[in-house]
Amino acid sequence: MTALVRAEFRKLTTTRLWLWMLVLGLAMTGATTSAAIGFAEPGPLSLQTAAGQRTVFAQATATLVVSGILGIIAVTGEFTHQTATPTFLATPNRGRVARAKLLTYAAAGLGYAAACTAVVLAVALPWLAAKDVDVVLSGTDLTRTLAGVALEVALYAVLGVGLGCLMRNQIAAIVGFVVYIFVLGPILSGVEATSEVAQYLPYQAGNALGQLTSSVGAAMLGQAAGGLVLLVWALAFAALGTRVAIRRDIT
Amino acid sequence: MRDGLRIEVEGLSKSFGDVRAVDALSFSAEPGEVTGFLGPNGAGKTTTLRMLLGLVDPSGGTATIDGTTYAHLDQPADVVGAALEASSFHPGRSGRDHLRIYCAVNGYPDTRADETLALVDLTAAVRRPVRGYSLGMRQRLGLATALIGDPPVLVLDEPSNGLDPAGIAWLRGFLKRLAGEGRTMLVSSHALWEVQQIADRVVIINNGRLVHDGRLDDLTAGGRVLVTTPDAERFAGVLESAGATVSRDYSNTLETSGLTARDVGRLAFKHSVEVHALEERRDGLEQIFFSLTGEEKQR
Repeated sequence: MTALVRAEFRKLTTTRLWLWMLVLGLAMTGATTSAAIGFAEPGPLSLQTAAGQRTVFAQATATLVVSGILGIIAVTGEFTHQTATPTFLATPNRGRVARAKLLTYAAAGLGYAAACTAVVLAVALPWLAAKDVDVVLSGTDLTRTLAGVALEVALYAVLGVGLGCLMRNQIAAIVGFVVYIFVLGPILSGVEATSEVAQYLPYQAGNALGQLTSSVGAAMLGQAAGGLVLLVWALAFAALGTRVAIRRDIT
Repeated sequence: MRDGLRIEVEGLSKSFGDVRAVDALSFSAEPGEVTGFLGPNGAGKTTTLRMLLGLVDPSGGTATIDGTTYAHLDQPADVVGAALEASSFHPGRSGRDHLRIYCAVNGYPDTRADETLALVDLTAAVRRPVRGYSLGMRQRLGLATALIGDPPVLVLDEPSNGLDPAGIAWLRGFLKRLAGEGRTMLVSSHALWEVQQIADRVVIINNGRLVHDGRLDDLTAGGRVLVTTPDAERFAGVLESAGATVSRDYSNTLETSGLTARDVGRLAFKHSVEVHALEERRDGLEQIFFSLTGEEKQR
């Protein structure tokens, strides 16, 4: 498995994709962090409150789009460029290939999250200081938020790999994923009728893991429960995706 | 390199929906020989090779290498090298990085990547992204990928596709060299004349079924002899009484079968027949192929 994970890291680092995706993640994080501070309004989520500050420090969560897409491309790219053939020739046990990708992209997701967290801190700390806002979050609370977001981003990479195994069509998988994250997820959580159920879907479970409080008062699990639910989703996609990938003929 | 590994295909079948792409196909490929795997496009060659390599699940039958199915080989790259598509590379990755991925998978040292690139004359292009490679260079990189583990068995699907004449000449020499090293080689092609140059044996399929399996020599033996003589009338009688079938196509040329050129020459000498031309014609593999598969010759 070590050899396979090394090979997957090599695949990731020997094209430019990882770099562009990282730049995209850093830019998105910088933008959302700036927006969270710049457009903060007085109220329950104002910058002076712990909930408001948690939301600011959780902005590396924006990277989950990037890590999810990266995970999708990790699998679908093999079919787009027909590298699936040499990949499965080298490792006929396709489940092992899928597992190596899951491990590799979970680790890559953590790396992306770490880099983007650095951006969050670099933007938020001086800006809050300049606004004379005291950080009221305790060290433990801050750590839990940052670690939660990092896990969320990593689990989205795993989710992406699973999704990629399920849907070989790269464009369809990416579009579906992006639509869910930016449109379906927020709507399902925000609408009262579906809010209760939606807290168990990946989007809101991820928000819970990152302790990202939204202003619309949507139902949300606690951090640990949210993390667990997202983990279950990620593993379910991975397990199902692996099974599908194993069965299919590579023609 | 281990040697003496046999490829054995037995009763192999594959259906895609109602279409029977491969139908109860059986043949083998022996060590130290190049087995040409022939058939028109769509005959089921690629599907057969993909079943042999564990990429496509057979509907029935088995395909084994040294008695083991591909999926059960511990580390396939040590045993079998395969080149299937003309381009299974990420366009943004260099040839060297592509090969180093397979070094990592198999635990080979990274230096093996440059060694195999040198083997296929791609040293000059090691750092370039594959998107800048010509089709011929991609074929070579595919061969390099197949050879990364110096395997005793090679499976190549249409390796000459898209090559220019110089590339084909290079490939022919390269494959001959690999075969000379005692490998078991299964090379598919629809370019019959190409295989004719390198194959020891040929397996011909059509519509998923075996139509011929044998040595190339046997297939091309039994040609015709053309003899031109001003004394055609008399000599035709001589040849016929010696047991040959003779047809007189035009003026002074007789076409005979059933005798070798040596026999014909000896008869001419014995009967004092003046000979202007004596020519032995072997059926080309192409003609044999068309007569076996019943395909119309399209020219």
